[in-house]
Amino acid sequence: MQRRINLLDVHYTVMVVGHPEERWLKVEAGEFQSVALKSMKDGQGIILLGEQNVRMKMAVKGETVYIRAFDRTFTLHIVNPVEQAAQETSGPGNTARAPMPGTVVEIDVAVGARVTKGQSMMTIESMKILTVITAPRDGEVVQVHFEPGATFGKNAALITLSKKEEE
Amino acid sequence: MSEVTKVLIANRGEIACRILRTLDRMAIPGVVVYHSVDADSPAVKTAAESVEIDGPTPVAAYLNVESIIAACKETGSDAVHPGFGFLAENPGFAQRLAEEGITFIGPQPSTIELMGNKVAARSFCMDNCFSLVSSVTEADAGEDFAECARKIGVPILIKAAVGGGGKGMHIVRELDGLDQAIQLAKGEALRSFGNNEVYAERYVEEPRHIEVQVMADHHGNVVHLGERECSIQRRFQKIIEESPAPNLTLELRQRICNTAVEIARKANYLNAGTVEFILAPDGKFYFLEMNTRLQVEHPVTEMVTGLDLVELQLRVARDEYLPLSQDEIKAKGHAIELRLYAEDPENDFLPATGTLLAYRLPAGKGVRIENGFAEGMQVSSAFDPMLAKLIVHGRDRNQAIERALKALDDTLILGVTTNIDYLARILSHPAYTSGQIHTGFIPKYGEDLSPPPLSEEQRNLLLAAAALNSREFTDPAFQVPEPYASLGDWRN
Amino acid sequence: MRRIKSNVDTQSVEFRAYQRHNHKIMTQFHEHQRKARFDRPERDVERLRKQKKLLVRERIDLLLDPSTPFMELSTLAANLAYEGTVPSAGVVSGVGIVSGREVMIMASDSSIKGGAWYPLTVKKMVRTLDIAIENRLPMVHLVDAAGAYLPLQSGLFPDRHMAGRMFRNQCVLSALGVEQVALVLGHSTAGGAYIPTLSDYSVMVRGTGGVFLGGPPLVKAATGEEVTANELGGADVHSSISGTADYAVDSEQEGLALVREIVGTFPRGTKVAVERREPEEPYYDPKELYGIIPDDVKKQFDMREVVARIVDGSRFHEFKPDYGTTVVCGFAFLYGWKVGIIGNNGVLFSDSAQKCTQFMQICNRDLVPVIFFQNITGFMIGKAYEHDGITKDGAKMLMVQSNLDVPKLTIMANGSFGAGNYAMCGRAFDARFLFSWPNSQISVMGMEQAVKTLTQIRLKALQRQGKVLPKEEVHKIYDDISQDYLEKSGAYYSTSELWDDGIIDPSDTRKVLGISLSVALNCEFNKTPNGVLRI
Repeated sequence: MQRRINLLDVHYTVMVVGHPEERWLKVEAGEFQSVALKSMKDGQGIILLGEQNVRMKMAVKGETVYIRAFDRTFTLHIVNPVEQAAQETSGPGNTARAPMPGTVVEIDVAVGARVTKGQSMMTIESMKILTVITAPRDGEVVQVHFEPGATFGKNAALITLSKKEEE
Repeated sequence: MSEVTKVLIANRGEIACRILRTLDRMAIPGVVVYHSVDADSPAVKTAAESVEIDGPTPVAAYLNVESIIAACKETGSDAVHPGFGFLAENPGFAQRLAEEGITFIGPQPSTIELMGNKVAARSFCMDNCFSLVSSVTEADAGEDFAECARKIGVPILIKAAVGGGGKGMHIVRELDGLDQAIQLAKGEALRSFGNNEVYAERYVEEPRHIEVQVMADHHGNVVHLGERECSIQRRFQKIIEESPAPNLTLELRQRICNTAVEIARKANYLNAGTVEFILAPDGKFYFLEMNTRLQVEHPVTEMVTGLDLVELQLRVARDEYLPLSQDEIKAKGHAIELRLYAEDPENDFLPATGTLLAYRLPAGKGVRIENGFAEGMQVSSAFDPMLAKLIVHGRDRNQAIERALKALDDTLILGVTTNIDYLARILSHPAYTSGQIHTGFIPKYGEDLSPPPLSEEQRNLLLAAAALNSREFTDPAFQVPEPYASLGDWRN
Repeated sequence: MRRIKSNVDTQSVEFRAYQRHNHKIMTQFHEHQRKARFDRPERDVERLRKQKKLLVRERIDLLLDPSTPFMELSTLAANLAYEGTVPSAGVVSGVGIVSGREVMIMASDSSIKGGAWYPLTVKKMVRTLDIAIENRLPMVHLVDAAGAYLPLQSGLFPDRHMAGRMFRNQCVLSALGVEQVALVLGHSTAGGAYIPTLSDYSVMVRGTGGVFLGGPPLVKAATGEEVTANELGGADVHSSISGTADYAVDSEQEGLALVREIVGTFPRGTKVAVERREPEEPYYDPKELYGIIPDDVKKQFDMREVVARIVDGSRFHEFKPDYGTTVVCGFAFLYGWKVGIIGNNGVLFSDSAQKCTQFMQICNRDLVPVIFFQNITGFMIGKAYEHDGITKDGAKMLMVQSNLDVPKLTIMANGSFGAGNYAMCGRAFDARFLFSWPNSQISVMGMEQAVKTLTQIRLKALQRQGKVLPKEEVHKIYDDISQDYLEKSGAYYSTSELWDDGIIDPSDTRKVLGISLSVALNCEFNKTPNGVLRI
C-alpha cells in the first residue's frame, strides 16, 4: 500500500508491503526497512524501523494520526489519493475552506451568485482577527455552509462553487 | 448578614469544577448552569444540580443575566459565584443580583464599575497619588488625543479603555504608525467590548508584569497574599505564572504588596481582587489595573500560602471576618502555573479545535490540576481555548521548574494541537531558569523557542508510526496477495 | 517430496554452447519486446503530451499497486503483420494487482494509429476477455481508441470471434458476476462506445474523454446538426445528463486514482482450495535453463531438468517413472499450489500416452491443475504401433485431456509437431494460458519432412508442365520453401497470430506459471465423480 502522508506541511510518499507478521516500509525513494508496531495499552506503542525502536504515544482519528514523540506532538495526515490527484491536476478546488477555526461574521454572496476569482465571499473571525474568504476561481455559488454567528473548525467547507466549467 | 446557603456558579470549565470542590468541602450545595455544548463536561457531571441555559451562541448563554437569575430562583440559590470572564466583572449583573436579593460573591457593583473602566481607575490612582505610567486618555484630551499621545514619546502603548485580555492593544514604536494604531485599537475595542474608547500610555520596555492578590472583608480588614509574576505572555495573554516573583528584593516586594493593599483600602474594596503593576527594569513600578475577581492564576497563590481563596471569598460574602491577619499569612516554597491551551504556537498561537482523543493529565507530589475537559470531548472555537491549568509546587524555584517539566512530560493530549511542548521549551530556556523574564520574553526568544528540526530518522519513524496506525496501510482488504507480493515489480 | 537430482554439468562444453546460443536468442527477444512496448515516433508522443494524455504504460503503472508485478500478454502480437506498424496489435493487456485485487487490464495504445482496431487488435481483445471469462478476472478497461481501422474492417467486424464478440464477452462476464470498470481517456466512438457502457462502472476524463455512437462529423453529415464533442458526449454530459457514465474527473491521474478506489470496493475473490504448502524457491537456478535448451530443435533434452528449475524446491514426485519413459508425469508444487506436470522426453508411444491418460484422471479427480511442457515430434508411426493401437491410445489421451475440469497451462518449450501438439494441450484445447519460449516451433509435421514433401509437390507440378529444372533452381525452391516454413512455424509468427498468450523468457517461466495458476484458481472446478482407470 502506498499513500502520501502529510507531516509538518510536507507530503511524503510512504509504501508498506508485506503482511501482519512481517512488513517493510519505504519513504520516498529510500530503501525498504523492516517495520513493526508493538502496541501497548493506553495508546502507547513501540515503533520498530530497521535497527531503531522508539516509544511513542499515539491516537488515531480517521486518516489523522496524532503522535507524541521526541518531546513534541505531531499531527500526521494520510492523504486520500483521489483528492490528491484532483488537487494536483486540476488547480483550485470547488470549495473555499476555513484557514483556521472561527466564527462567521458576514456573508457577502448568496446561492446562485456568480463570483470572480478573488472576490470576497465571506468574513470570518478567529481570535478577534477578521479574515476575508475569497473565491478560489470564477464560478457560481452552489452552497453556503454556515450562517452568520456559526462556528466552524479548521478546513471546514465554507462556500462551494459549481463544478469546474468546461473550457 | 448575607445568606450563602446554596451557590450557583455562573461559569463553566475548570473554574466551575474548582469552585464546586470548595463548596463541596464546605458542605454548601452548588449549582452549575450550562449550555448544551457543555452537557458532557466534568463540571456538569460533578455538580449535584445543573440548569441548562440557552443563547444565540454558547458564549451568549453564559452572558445571559436574566436566565441565570431565573436559574437561581428555580434552584433556590441565594448566592452566585461568577468565576472569571463572562459576567465576573459586569457591574450590571452584580446590580441585578442585588436587586433580586442574591449575594454576588465579589466586590460591590460600584467598585467593579470603577476598576472596570481603566480610564476611571487611572484617575482614581492619580487622585490618590499612586504612581502611573505617563498617559493620556481620549476623555481628557478629546479632539487632541492623537496630538497629546504623540507628546508622550515612543514607545507608546494604545489600549482599550474597557475590557482586557490584551484585545485592542497596540505598541507604537514609530510616530508615523500612531494614527493607524489608534484606529486599529478602536476598531478591535468596539468589536470586542462594544466601546471604542482608548487611551495611550508610555510603553515600558522589557517590563515585568507583577500582580498582588488582595482580600478584603466587610469589617475593614484588607490583606495581601503575596505577589505573582505573570510576565510570560503571548498575544498579551499570560501562559505561565509563578509566585513568588523571581529576583525581587524583599524590600521591593513589600513595597509593591503594600501599595496594592493601600489601593484596595482606598477603593473600599471587598472580597478577592488583584492589583496589577508594571515593574520597569530600574525597579520602578506603576499601577496597571485592578481585576475585581478571582484570577485564572489564583492557584499559584494558594499553593504557596496554603489558603483556599474561594473559601475566603465565600466567608467574606457571608460577612465573616477574614480568618487571618497579615502577619499570619506566610508563603512557603515556589509555585508555577502553566496554562494548557488548544493552540498552535508554531502558527502564531492560533486556536486549535478537534476531539480530545487522548487526554491524560499528570498527578503526583506537588502537582495540582485544574481541568474542565475529559477524553473524547470536542474542543470548539466557541470558548476560550484554555484546556486546563497545571500547577506545581516546590521547595524552591528550581524544584518547581523540575516538577513542571516532569508534569508536562506526563501530560498527553492528542487530537488537538496544544502548547504543551512549547511550555516545556520555555521552562528549559536559560533566560527563564535564571529568572530573566519580562513580557517581551516570547518575541525575544522566538527562535530559541521554536521546535528543533526533525532528523530524517525521526521523520521516518513518525511516518512509520502513522502508516502502521492507519487502516489505509494495514487493512488486509488491500494486501497484495501471493505470489504477486513476493514478485515485487517484476515485468515479463 | 524428493528433489530432482540434476545431471546437468554447468561447466560442460555443451552447456556453454547452448548458453551462448540461447543468450543470443533472449537478447533478440527482449529487444523485439522493448521496441514493441516503447519505440514510438516522437510526433505521436508529442501529440499525446499536448492533449495532456499519459502513455499507455504510464497509465498502467499508475493504476497498478506500487511494487507489484504486471504479467503482460501477447506483447509481440501483430509483430509480423501490417508491416510491423501495429506493435502489440495496438492494445496492452495483462494481469496485475489493483488495490490488492487480481485484475485483467486492457488498455488501448493511442500512440499507435490513435488506438485504431486492426483485425489482430480485435483478436487480442477478444482473447483477453475470454481469459477474463474463463478465470473470472475483473476487468479494467482503459479506453482510448479511434475505432475500427476502416481499410481492414471486413477482417474484424462480422465473424463469430470478431469485434462483436468483445461486447458479447462483456455481457457474459457481467452475468457471471465479474466486475468491470472502464476509464474513458479518449473518444470512444460507435461500437467502442459499448466498452465503457457495458462496464459496471464508467469514469470519464473531462475534456479528452468522449462517448458517442456517432461522432460530431458523422452527426453533421447525417442530420446537419452541429455539435462539439463535449456537448455531444463529454464527461459531464454522460455523468450528469445521460447517465451513460458514472463519474467525471478532471485528469487522467484523478481518473486512475478513482478506478483504484472503485476496484478496492470489489470483493476479494477466494481461490479454489487445491492442496497448498509453504512456497519455496527452486533449488536449481532458473537461469541454467539457457544451458539446457539445445541449440537445435532436433536435439533431445531431459524435461526433468526443466521442471527442476521451475517448481518449488525443485521437488518432484514422478509417477510411473519406469513406464512409458518418453513422457514425464508427476506432482510438484508451484508457489505452494499442488500441480500435475506432463512433459515430453521423446516421441509418444502407446505406453507413454496411456501413462498420461491415467495420470490426468488422477489429477482431475484430486483437483490438481495440470501443466504441459511441450517438446513433441508426435505419436510413433509404423505397422507395429498401429497394430498396438497407437491411434486409439492417442485418442484416449485427447479425450481425457480435452475434458479435464481442472485448469490446464501449457508451455511451448521446444518443438510441437503434429498430433502431439493436440495431445499435449495445444491452443485448440483451451489451456487457461499458453506461453511460448522464443526458441519454440509449431507445425503440423517436422520441418525437414514437410519441406521435402512441399518441394516434391512443386517439382511434380512443374514436371507436368514439362519443365525440368537445373539442380541450382531445385535448391532455390527448396530454400524458399524452407524459409517460409521456418518463419511460419516459429514462435514470432505464432505469437504474431495470437496462437499463444505471449512469448516468455524461459527463466521467467516459474513467475508466469505462478501468476497464471493464481488466476486459474479463481474459477471453481468440479470433482469428476469417476474412478480412475488403470488403462
